[in-house]
Amino acid sequence: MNVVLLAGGLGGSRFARALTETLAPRDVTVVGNVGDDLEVSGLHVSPDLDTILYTLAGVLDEERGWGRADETWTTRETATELGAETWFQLGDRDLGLHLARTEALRRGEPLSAVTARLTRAFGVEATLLPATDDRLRTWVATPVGEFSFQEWFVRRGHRDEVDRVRFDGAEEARAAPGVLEALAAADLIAIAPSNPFLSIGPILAVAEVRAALESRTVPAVAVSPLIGGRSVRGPADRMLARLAGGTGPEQVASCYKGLIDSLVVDEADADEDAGIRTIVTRTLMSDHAARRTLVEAVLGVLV
Amino acid sequence: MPTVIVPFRREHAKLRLRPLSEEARSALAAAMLADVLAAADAVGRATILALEANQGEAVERALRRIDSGPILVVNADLPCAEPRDLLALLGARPEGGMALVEARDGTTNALALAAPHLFAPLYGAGSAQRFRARAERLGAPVVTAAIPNLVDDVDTLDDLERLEGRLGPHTLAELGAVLVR
Repeated sequence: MNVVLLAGGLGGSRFARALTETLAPRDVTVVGNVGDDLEVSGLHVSPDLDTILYTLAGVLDEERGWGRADETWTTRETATELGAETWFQLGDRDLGLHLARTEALRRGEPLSAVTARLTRAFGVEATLLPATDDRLRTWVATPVGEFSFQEWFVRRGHRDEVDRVRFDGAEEARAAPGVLEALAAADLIAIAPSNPFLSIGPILAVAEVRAALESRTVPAVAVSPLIGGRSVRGPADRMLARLAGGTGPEQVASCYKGLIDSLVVDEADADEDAGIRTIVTRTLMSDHAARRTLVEAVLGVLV
Repeated sequence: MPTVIVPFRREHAKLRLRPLSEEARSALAAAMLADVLAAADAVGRATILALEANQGEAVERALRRIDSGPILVVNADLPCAEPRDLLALLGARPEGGMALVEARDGTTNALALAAPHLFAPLYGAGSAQRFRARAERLGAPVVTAAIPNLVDDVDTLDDLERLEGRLGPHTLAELGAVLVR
């Protein structure tokens, strides 16, 4: 059974891992967000793709939720001492990956090809695809001005309320090679419990991807990132309250109107109407057993 | 639009239908659910409770969001259920009361409720009688509706073979695949 997962960073990577632990990893294709990508000291960094890759390879720093386990920071310390801007933290092992990717991109290799190579090099059997090879960047408008995604999220600690999200380059962006093919061959399309605006929004901003979901012939399901009306991590709840008018299943479903057939919600949110077919289960992916239960609930119901 | 609540205990479903392999039992449980959902989607909006514990409490919680309008609670092991069976159950519900479908063993396969408060977590042996007794205590009229496709729940492979002519398409296809294996 082929499953295509649209995923952002941490929530997306955890659900991706849950899928690969339950299904044959080869049957899982993860389409990752690239709206968070940025240049750091001349290096191309793809934070969401990297979090998914590190998670599937089993080398993610689980505590931090980003970067690699057993990381060292010598390069960053040195750069800081020498006056470089180092607010976006890159560890030594992590930097190795960014060097390899940036070098390949400079040679003209598309991001999807580089990602495929890196995925293989880490021994990951699932397929990881960027939503697009084209330049697509998330910008966040706040009461104090507009910021690039990482400037707002990391540097300002996502403290400013978000009035609007904009995806620069989305109009021209084409789906990366393999994305539409995977969606066409899927038995189930899933949207990970990621931030609907910041993680999934940039993927759906690629017109070809959105159109493929709109014209799907197989079930599509989204997993709500909320538990009891709060996001497990990050600003999804605040953004839903401000941009969608509430923090319940209905507001999450409204972000995916016409794109999903069912919404998976945590049992803590079961007392609110989603306005769509709802699957109630436990959604917190705290350990292997919990991840498996969630995936089995979703697959058992839908496939 | 009626709300249709479908409790689905996958672990529980997997315990049934021995001596089939665990994989086959899982696949059949999912196929039966798919047939129930196809009927549910045709008459209302479905909520599937995919929880292993406290199913009755989960139903109560899911009912909290419903202000008005009829509610169906339909078990997931009723692979013969068709939209007209669910409509018949809704139609059997007396004004302000409830209609229930009793299984042959005295448990409850399906409920149609006028209001959420008529539900209580009473599942298990003899539950049909307990649902009736509770409704009477509340002064709500109760009808026991013997709708054949909702009376026929599936506990064994024999049940499935006996019901073959009436099974929904998902279950029928999966049963075929299982018997070939």
